[in-house]
Amino acid sequence: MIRFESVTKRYPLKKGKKTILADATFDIPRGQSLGVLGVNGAGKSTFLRMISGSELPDRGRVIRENVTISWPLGFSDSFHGSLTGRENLRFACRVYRKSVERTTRYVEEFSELGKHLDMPIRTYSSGMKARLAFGLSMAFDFDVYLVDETTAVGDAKFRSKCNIVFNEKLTNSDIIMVSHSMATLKSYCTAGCLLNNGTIRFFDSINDAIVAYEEQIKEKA
Amino acid sequence: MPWASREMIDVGSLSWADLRRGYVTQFHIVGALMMREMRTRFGNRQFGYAWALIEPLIQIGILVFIFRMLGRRPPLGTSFEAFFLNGFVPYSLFNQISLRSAQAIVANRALLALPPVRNMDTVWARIILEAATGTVSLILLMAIFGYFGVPIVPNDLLQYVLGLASAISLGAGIGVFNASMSSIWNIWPTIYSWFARLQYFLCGVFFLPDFMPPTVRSTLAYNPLAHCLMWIREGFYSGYESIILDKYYPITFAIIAAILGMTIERVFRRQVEQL
Repeated sequence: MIRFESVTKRYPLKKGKKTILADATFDIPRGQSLGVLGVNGAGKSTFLRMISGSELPDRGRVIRENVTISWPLGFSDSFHGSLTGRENLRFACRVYRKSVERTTRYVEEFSELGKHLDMPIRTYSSGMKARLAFGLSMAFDFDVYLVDETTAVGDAKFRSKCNIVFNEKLTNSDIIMVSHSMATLKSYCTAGCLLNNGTIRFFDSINDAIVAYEEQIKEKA
Repeated sequence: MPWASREMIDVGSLSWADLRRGYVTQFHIVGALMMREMRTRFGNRQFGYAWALIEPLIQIGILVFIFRMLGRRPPLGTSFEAFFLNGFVPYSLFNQISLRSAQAIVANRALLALPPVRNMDTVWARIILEAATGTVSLILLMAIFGYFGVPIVPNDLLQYVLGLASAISLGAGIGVFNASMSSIWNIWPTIYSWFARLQYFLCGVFFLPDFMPPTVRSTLAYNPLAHCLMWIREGFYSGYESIILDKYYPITFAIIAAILGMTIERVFRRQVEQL
């Protein structure tokens, strides 16, 4: 269960404050993948970070019970530049208390990084880093995956590999995804939600959510 | 008060089991962070570890050389080496803990992306790592000095260890304060490192505050670290009893600094966590 209980979240702008959620109470629906929609600055990434627990609400609380949630994938990584890929994996395994061996084996195979796994992260290209991060999160088997604009990682071959694994995960895990690409959202998500000026609306169908989102943009224009 | 959120007051259905689980998790995370810090702190090569021994050896060597040249006699006992060992090592232990934990939150910002790791975990990891490094290096230095005939056995081991613990606690308390101050005010590390450099001359690495003129002595008594060093030396030398040592002072100072630091961290957590 992931429940938002009278959550208020604002972030400061140069002038005044932007409201992301105002005293909002809701459950994140489980058993379906959720696409998060909203205009730039509506707070989609902050919303994901609040779900993950890496950012606190200003008021109210986010309750997570009997559910494991990933860190927001693709937004930023926590790798240490002077440690090797392997050492960074070991650290993440210790934090999440997973088997170092099994995780490393999975990531070795998945990421196709080969000898680079024993090189410091600072020598990695951004694509290589993303492959490592993506492989790591897939190795951990979370109940809910938070995805922030990633899927365009690596070459076409690697992307299709990601899609296959991701779709496998969908049978046991949920995805909550932020993306500016409606095609990506449609291909991964069944349900949707729309963030707008402190309110959030849920839709059972991603298509309805996209329609509502596009109407909102037209109104503003 | 924007920060006085409900979760600060209403802990809801928090049970002992929840608390225990929380501590077990934090224990693992701090452990993982220590391993990570160790690799980055000491680098790849053995030289990193060796430096933790070589650096105090050089520093003590320079002091011994200067004071011998000046034809002085040690303020206590017969050995300059022992006097400076019991001054420089606790000073450096305190400094390393308080300086390195000052950067803990700022240097580990990327870790905030991992939800289980929180700000204070990185601070504790650095404190424990520095305290362990300093203690091991002190024991090894004592062994080296003892091998060359320097008297190294404390007269009152309990007081000696307690004095050392007070220096570590003081470093930890001020370290917690530094870490949260640095995360909200980026000039703080610069200001503090200036203080830290002054400490070399103010805490009694190479002198004994007791033997100073009364006005100087009473001013030095405001420095909590000076008390730690006197405490350690009281434990080390038989027959030395400081006239100004107040054992409660460094401990109280450490506790107040830690509480202040943790309060600052809690109050400004939202701002600091905003990426």
